[in-house]
Amino acid sequence: MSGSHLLEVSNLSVRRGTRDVVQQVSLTVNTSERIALVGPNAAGKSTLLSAIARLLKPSQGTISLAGRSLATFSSREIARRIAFVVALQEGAPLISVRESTALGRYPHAGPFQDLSAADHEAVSRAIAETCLQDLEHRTLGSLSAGERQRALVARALAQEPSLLLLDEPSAHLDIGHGLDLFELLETIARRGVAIVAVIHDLVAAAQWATRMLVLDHGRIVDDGPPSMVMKGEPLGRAFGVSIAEARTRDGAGSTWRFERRISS
Amino acid sequence: MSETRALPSYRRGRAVILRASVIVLALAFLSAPSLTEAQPKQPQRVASLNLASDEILADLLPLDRLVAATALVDEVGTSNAVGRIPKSVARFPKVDVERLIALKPDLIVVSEYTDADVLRALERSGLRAHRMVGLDSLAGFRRALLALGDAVGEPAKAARLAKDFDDRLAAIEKRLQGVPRPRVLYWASGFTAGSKTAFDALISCGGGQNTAALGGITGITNLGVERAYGLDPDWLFIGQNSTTSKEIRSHPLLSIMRSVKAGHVVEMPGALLVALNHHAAKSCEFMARALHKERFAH
Amino acid sequence: MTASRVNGFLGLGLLASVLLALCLGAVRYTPGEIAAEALRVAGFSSTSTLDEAHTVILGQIRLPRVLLAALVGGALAITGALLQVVFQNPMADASLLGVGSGAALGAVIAVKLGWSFDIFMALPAAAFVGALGAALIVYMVAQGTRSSSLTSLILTGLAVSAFLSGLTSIILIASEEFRVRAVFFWLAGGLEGRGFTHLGLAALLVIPACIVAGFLCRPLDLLLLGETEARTLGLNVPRMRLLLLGLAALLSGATTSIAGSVPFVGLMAPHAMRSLVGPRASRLLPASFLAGAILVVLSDLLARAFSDKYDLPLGAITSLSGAPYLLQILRRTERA
Repeated sequence: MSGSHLLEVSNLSVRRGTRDVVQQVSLTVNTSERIALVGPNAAGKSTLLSAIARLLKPSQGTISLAGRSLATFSSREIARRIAFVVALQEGAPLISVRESTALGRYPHAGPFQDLSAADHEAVSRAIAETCLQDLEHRTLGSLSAGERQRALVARALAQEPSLLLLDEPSAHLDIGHGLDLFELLETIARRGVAIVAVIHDLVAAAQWATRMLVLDHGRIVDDGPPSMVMKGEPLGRAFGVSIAEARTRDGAGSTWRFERRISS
Repeated sequence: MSETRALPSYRRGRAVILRASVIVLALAFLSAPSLTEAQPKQPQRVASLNLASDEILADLLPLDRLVAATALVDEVGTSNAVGRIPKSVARFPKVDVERLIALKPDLIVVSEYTDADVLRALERSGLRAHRMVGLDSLAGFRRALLALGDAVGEPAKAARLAKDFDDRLAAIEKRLQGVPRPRVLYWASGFTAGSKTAFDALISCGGGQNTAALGGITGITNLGVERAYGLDPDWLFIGQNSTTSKEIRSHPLLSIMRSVKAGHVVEMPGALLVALNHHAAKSCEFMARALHKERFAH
Repeated sequence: MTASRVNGFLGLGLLASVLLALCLGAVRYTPGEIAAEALRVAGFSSTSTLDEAHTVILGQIRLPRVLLAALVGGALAITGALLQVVFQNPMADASLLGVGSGAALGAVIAVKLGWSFDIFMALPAAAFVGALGAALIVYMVAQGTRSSSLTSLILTGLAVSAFLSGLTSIILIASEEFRVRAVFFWLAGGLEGRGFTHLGLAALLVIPACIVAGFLCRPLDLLLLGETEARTLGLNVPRMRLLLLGLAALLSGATTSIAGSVPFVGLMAPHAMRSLVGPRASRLLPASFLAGAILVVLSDLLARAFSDKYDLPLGAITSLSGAPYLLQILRRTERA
């Protein structure tokens, strides 16, 4: 808990077009944290994530990685530390899982050098961690949505990042595959990688995350463990719902009930 | 009494008027051709818009009756009438209908390749146009020369030019009687001229046979150096000072053609090469002298 | 079939095509004669089975032409492959850069001013300058727009192409018939009259450009994943795109200035090879080069050998085979 933070975002604003989509956001991320970034549509979640990955330039504020300003890193240096898994898309190139994962070594190997033995080991580790060994030589296009999402994570893992960012990773997955994915992310976090994921489904977010960040109209309106955030006012206000915890009859588990509330 | 005398005079007057009208109408009817022909028999303001007619008119027309000529007429190496057309005559690099109308010509002479649409535009503006056609053979040149003479109202002069043309050609033919006709190939940077071209006409009147035409080629075609070599002409016919004349001795294949090695190359000056009128007689003479030097030794 | 086996077959195919193209034409040779001549030139024998003219035709007229056809075909294929990655579209091709129109304008200017008739290589040089100039204009105009997206690049390319074509037409209309004819034959595409000088100049431009493209295999693969993905992996996407577009413009400018307009090769060769060896650049680029080379060598052979009176335009032959191929692709993708 003590010591310098892995990622420190200070007073960050990101402008898109004429408005500030992200406004004066400050947050910190530490190793092994599993952070769910939630909020209503167009709250600025993807924009915030893109800014952290240095895909967008902030109009104000700073981001530091391990105490050093992100602006001083080259794009490859960033890619060796931060991996970004974009939302799953239609159409995948006709390359194999192994080839795709190997591209994740680019930040380390560079454009001209051949992949070293160490690189190939990192690729194998990533494939093993995402349980894709049997599908290693299949092309991405021939995989199911769940398998393809895992392949994207494998490529991110091949980068050997200390921070993993994911934008709506469970969006196109059925419930079973979604749970598989979150279990995978938990395993990854346990070995020290910090994870920040934009998650659409509040219940899944609450179950998986160690911390929830609520973003509304570009500002952080709540930041804390799920048990606190789910019961807090800001979350409900942001979505226009009232949230109540519902315990199972035997009291062992709980889930959340949502009801539409008239704006207050 | 005065009434009856008045009546016959009135009747007589009417008869006079009637007779006069008939005579006037008859005269009008007789002079009708000149009325339907809106222009005078001898055009006074002739605009020439192609080089072939520029050159003819330079010899045919009193130059105060020429109001326009092409810009090419001043080009040394292309024109056979350099310095003949005074500066007062407007120069036209291209067919500019507006500028033409401003000159108020009563006859415009255009080439065969002038668009039908352009011609119609000229005619609709009230301008009369004469088209030079059939300039792909010597007989064609002659016919076009005479037709132009008629159009500008100088048939006698045109006939004299035509006679001179015929005489010169006849003289050439006389000298070339019984001569064996070598096979000649026109060559310009990969292109050759087959039958139905002016170049073909020049080769024939100069006492040669057009190799390309013998091979079944019509018009200007992209022959290529390999085929040219294969045709193995006795003589090569090129334009003087052209790209071809510069490269012919350094080109790996052209320089070893039988004709080139033997020095059998006719290099015709540009003005003679493109002459599509009575000047072609000079071109034929040039060709004949080159192909059959011995017949002109006197 | 592995990529190296495919490349092996293609290599053999190219050699066979070159041999065939050397044998056939207005003058015919047997493979034996060609082999004997090759040995003689290499210094392994001193006897010649051919007379002087046949030696000249084989060695100085036909050989450079066939080699140039191979080089042009390979360059066109690589250009297509590069642009298809940059534009993330399997139908992308050099016409999007305005290169063809720029080259045509340069050529027309050279013909109009008479340079092409007086100065050796003036026409290819002018066409090359025109090609690169057009690509530069397209790039700068597209950069100036607020969205530097691919769509704006494509639309700018179309707009600039149209503009340059308009200028070309204006100049042609003001030109004499023989000039128009010269330009027409150049535009229709062809390798007649191209010798070792043309081959040398083309090789000087094409070979280094292809080597550079070969070094960019990994960035090309990254671009395959998508712009955002490539950036998250540390690739400087705008700079890489600029480099690739520059290479494509150079290759395309070189081929168009030497051989005129030869369409569809940049489309057919990479597309056909992609289904055989996959989209990864390290496999696709060599295979595309070889396939493009074979295609143009055989097309030029057809152009020469079809008639004993004239050459067919090379561009027409590639179009006649390319358009049906394209339609076939469209039908198949629609069915899938």
